Amino acid sequence: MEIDKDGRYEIIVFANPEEGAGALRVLATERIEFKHISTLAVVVPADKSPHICSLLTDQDILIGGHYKFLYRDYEQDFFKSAAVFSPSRNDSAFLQGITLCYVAPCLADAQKIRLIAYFSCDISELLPYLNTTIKGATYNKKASTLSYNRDQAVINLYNIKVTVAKASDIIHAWQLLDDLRETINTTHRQRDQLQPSYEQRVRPAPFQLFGWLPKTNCQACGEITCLAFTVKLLQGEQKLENCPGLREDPRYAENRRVLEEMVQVLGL
Amino acid sequence: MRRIYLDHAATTPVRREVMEAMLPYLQESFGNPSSPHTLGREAKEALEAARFHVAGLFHAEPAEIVFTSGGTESDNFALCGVAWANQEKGDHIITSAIEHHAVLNACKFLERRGFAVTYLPVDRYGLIDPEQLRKAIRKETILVSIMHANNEVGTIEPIEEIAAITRERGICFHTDAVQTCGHLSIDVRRLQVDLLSASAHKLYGPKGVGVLYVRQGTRIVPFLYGGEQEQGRRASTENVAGIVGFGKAAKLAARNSEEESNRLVNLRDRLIRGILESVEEVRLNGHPTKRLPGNASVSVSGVEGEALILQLDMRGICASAGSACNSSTVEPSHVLTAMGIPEEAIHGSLRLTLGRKNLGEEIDYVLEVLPGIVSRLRVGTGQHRMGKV
Repeated sequence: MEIDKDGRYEIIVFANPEEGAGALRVLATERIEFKHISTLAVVVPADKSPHICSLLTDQDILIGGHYKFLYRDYEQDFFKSAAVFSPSRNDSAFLQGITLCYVAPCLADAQKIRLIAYFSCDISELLPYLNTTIKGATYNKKASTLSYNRDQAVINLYNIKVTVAKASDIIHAWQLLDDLRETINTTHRQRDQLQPSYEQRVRPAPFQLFGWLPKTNCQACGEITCLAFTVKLLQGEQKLENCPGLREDPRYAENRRVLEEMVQVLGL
Repeated sequence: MRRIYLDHAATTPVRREVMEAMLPYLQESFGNPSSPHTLGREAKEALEAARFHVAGLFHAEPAEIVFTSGGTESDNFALCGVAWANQEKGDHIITSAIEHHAVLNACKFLERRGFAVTYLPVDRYGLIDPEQLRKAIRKETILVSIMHANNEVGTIEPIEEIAAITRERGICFHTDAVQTCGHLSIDVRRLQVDLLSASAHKLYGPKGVGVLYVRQGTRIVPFLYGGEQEQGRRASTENVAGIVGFGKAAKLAARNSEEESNRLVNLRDRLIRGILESVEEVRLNGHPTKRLPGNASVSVSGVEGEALILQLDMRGICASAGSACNSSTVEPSHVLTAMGIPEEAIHGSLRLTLGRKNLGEEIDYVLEVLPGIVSRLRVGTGQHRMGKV
């Protein structure tokens, strides 16, 4: 099926690659038109989506969710990155796989997605070690949760599940989960050499960043003021390296160190 | 695909008779009720007829009815209106930990403005202990706000006993009756309630219209300032068509309340019994008998409430999760948390709320598909393997 720029489509996301493979078989047998994204998701016409979801469910395929497909610049980027992306699987690893059980648009930003996924094993004992290995993570010992930010997405780890909010699209979400699986497995392998951390880091308020900038409004970064630079930095559209004061002036060496730490904690 | 709507606590469909009653006021009789000409007078008459029917729903006088934009405004108006009107008298408010956010967040606002608020705890069924309320009263207490029935778990609170206490102590009593109005009989005179909130769209009326009953003589300051509408208690040109729809819905609700509620209780109990028998590791949330006629709220361990909703939706069933998932984190429900339900069970909460069009065969269909969905999710997400369930 070709994607028509003005058409209305939905993405159907499968719980994991095995469910996806099963779904593709059903769709082929039933001669249903769809656009292949990967083994993890397909695009279908929006008006046919309820019928297709119900058909797949009847065939015992576990669907993680379905939501409106946004065209954006997807013909080039999305499908290309989707085609080459395939989550790796290692059956002998500690965490074998992650299964999506809920995918939906973000409440705050309908252009982005949120999801809930389950681990194939309980990771609660590993959380203090992950607090050491995941840069900028916030560990809550009492609630047994670990939160961190990556490329604007917010990730929360629980004992047996993970929630992700503000992922750009399903491929981005799967990449985040794949990276997480890798991190969990590496941490598990090296846990004897690691120092578990029970520290609960305090996340800085975003605008505290501004306080540590040179505040010279030199405009060398391309922004009108240092405040504008802060806003862009928080939106992921600027980098600390673009500030020449921080980069070159030895007077700001300490500021630079503090800012780098903050940026890491905020996941920017 | 066949659709089964089991989310009546969220909203109800507008009844055909209600819509038909509203249409003239969106078309030919579009006048402003404050205008003295024929069209204005027509609208004014319709408004007052609706006021009469809405007042009748809970045995109030029409003059004690203030139409609002919905349940949230009514709650905000009651809380803030009474707080500002009585701040010379005292600065203490008592409410419960399981109120709707329209009450809780209004209380949080008042706390920031210098008022002290006591949030009463509830037992494992979600019931408030009137004795605890009595103990919480101080000489500065100016308002008690306790909901008639909880929207998540359906527990009906002992508001008659609570009202007896507040009346004895001369404290203003507000109840949020959004979930009960039109479904349970309410008599504000007998109950001795001073303020009561309700909303049209929970009783087959339109969205965007609600009511605050204000007992005569209750000290309250307006929430909106402007014209002299609603006897100066709520400025703004009236939502005539919406109010007419509310009036019609109230009239229809008053007619068949008891018979309908018995039918719903039977369906509800059949649904609850069926779920408890056919699904493993499931518990009923709320009180077994002191609960809303149409509310079946359960917690299924080892599954995510949102995932259940999604899978039910793909089978044509509209349900609701007890916990709200916001954009940055999955917040456990404040109601289930206050009831002491373990967090694991809170995340698997499922609320099915029945209404007038639901039939026994629809309940059977839900009971037919739900156990399969639960075990598929548990197997699919590895919960069985991990021994969680």
